[in-house]
Amino acid sequence: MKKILCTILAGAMAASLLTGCGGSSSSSSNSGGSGDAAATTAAAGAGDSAAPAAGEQVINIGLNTDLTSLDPHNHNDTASAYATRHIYSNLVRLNENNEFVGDLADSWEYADDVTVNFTLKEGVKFHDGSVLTAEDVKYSLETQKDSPKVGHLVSMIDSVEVTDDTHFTIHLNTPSNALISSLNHSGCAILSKAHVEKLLAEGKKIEDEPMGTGPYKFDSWTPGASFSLVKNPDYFNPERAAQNDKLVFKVIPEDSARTIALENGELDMMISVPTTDAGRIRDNSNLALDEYVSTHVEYFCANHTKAPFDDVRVRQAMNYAINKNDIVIASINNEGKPFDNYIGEAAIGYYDTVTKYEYNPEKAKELLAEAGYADGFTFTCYVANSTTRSTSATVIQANLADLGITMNIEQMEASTFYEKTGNGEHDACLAGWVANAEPDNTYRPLFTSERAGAGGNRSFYKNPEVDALVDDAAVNRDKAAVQKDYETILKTISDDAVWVPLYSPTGMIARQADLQGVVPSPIQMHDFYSIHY
Amino acid sequence: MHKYVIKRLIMLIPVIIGVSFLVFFIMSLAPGDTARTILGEDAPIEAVEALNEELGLNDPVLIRYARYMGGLVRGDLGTSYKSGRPVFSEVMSRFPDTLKLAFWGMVFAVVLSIPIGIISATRQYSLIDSVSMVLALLGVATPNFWLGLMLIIGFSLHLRWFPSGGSEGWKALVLPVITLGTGCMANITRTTRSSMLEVIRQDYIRTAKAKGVSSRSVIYKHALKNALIPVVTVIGLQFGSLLGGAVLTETVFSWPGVGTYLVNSIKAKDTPAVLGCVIIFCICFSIVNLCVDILYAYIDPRIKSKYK
Repeated sequence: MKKILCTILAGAMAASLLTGCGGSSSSSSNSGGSGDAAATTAAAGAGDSAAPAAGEQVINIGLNTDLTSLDPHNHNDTASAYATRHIYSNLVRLNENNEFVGDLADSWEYADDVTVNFTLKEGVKFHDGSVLTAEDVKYSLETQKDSPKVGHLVSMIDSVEVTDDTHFTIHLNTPSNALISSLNHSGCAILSKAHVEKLLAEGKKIEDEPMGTGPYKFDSWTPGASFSLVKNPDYFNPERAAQNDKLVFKVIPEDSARTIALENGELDMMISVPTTDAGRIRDNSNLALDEYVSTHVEYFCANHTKAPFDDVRVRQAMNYAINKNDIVIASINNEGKPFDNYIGEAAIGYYDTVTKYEYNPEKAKELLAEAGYADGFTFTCYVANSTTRSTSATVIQANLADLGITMNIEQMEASTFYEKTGNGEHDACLAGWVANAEPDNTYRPLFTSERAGAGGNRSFYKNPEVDALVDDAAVNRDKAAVQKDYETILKTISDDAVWVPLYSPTGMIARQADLQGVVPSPIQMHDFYSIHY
Repeated sequence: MHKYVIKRLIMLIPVIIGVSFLVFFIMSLAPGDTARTILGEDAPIEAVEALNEELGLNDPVLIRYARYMGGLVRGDLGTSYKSGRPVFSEVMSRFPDTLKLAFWGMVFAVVLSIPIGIISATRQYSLIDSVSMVLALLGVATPNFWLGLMLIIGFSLHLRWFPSGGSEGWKALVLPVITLGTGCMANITRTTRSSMLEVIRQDYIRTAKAKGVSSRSVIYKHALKNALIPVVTVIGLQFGSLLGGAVLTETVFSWPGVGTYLVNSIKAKDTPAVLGCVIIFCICFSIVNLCVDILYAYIDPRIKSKYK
């Protein structure tokens, strides 16, 4: 009888045991290296300074999401860009002072509004030892145009004309100020033509063997778990050469688990610090918190096509009625500041010309009475599933209740939110925006008529004057005129009370206290080459 | 018996068709624009439309379903909208980790729960019975993400015995296995106990005792075997839920399993990826159920005779 019991247990598990063991051996074999590394740094985190000196320096970085693709043309997200920006290089890059400087490009000049001549740096080598030429640039930019994910970034490029190995000309189909900033985007990474053509001929994809000119070479990717990069010893720019040997990005989606992994030394640094844990990290003497001004703005956005929000007085009343201080405290534990502007403070294209509305319920009441809503009204605010935004919504709901306005909150999945607000089904919604290096990528989607709805302009704000200014700023080569355009736009949209800007969260990177060289990027495109113990 | 197994395996085909049909239509009924979700808020409308066209999402739902089933018949689970990679390889790269977690979670649960259940039943109303039943109740009632976080704080942050996440090495397995297995263990303990209690009151157990069989022998040879049918049923069902329901545990421990992939795919409206996961879970669940049914035959000869 006992025998039978044994058979039962063995039988039930035999099949899965085989597969289970197979999985275990394969996953431990390809990640053994990083397991050792984790052990080394865990000791370092515990205060043992001997560990980093011994052998290679591995930096473990905690992320909340995995990359989607290692092909620069097949993604448009931050986590993937952490990998591809370090494997590949671009023609230009954004420096610490928000200026575009040459990366692979040595110099460039506008021959006229639609012709830009570039010179490449000489002797730049791909990871396989081959030398970068203008043909690679032409191939990269022209194939990028076919990408549904990042093709729109180079839609202004008509063609790339190669003069010789280091000289080429970009012909634009329309004048554009966005060219240079787009060339800095991770989607405009320069690939090796010979390598990609070889991969495609073998029936492989670019992401199967990512290879560029960047400071790191691709090492490994375990989907859902981690990806790693190793130092490229032959990187062309000694000033930006890797100061560590290996970067291991660990995907830890759960906020508190990520913080704990930093606390117990499994991580050397972490991106996307949960605001609830910021205080705990500050109080821990083994850890440090680097704070930076971000380009992130959270806002309340009413649908201007629906009454009563078609009346500018009602929208202004909303601006007076909402207590931004309370929202900052309730939603993000005070890790940010109340905000009056429509574009993040650290962004290119930020100017302090907006009309500010101080919290003033009395003034709000007056404006509502003037607009004929002295007794208030009822509307529904859509919120995508997000703890911070639903908390903000609750505060706004309470603020508005004081004025007799009933705000119903409807929470939904992000994809549903995008579709419904894109179709204009909402009365109002809560949303956020992180500006990138090109101001046109903020002003155009958010405030122009052409992008009303799913294109990003969820307020359905339509003002021909603003449209014209955005168009001018996109093509005018006179920097002073562009600045004037943006200043006027900001003044106009704040007078029209297009949104209620709520707050701008502080950017945060947490790290072990003795880790050095962390340089946060306001647009969250952090460089990791300079990090070391 | 062989006939029975083959019949059951053939039955899988209509099950898969039904499940894929349901999931496909629910996914297409749910609001949300796939290309917009993938490209993000700031992508221009032309780019979104181009991607929708490329993914074939502008075609009517029936045509898309027919196209998908056409691929499925040839063993092709399609290509993920989000990553552009084959769903089969994406799911299979995560499946061993999910199976490993579910398997060891189940081993943990079974190894502890059956002895505890037997002891509780044979010493009904004793202290050990009360304690184990209270623990079982707690085990069922404890949300596993909470238990996971508590284990991380205790054993990873303070004691530093185990890593807080990842799937590298046996140490990383300990905390997630306990987290995942606890609820399951509690269920099996309760089932074992109640089933044993029923069996040990049967006449044949009294007869066995009366003819002088040692009580150890009565419990383990006569009673346990008869009590196992409901227990094995629960184990089978629980194993299915361990496979598909490990999402929270996977999230807390950054375990790169299929559960997390499935949830992310649902969020991104990545229909082929969701269907791929569901179909593979469906096959696993069916196979586990089939194993359970076959086990019945070995446990109970009366059932075996019916298979013929």
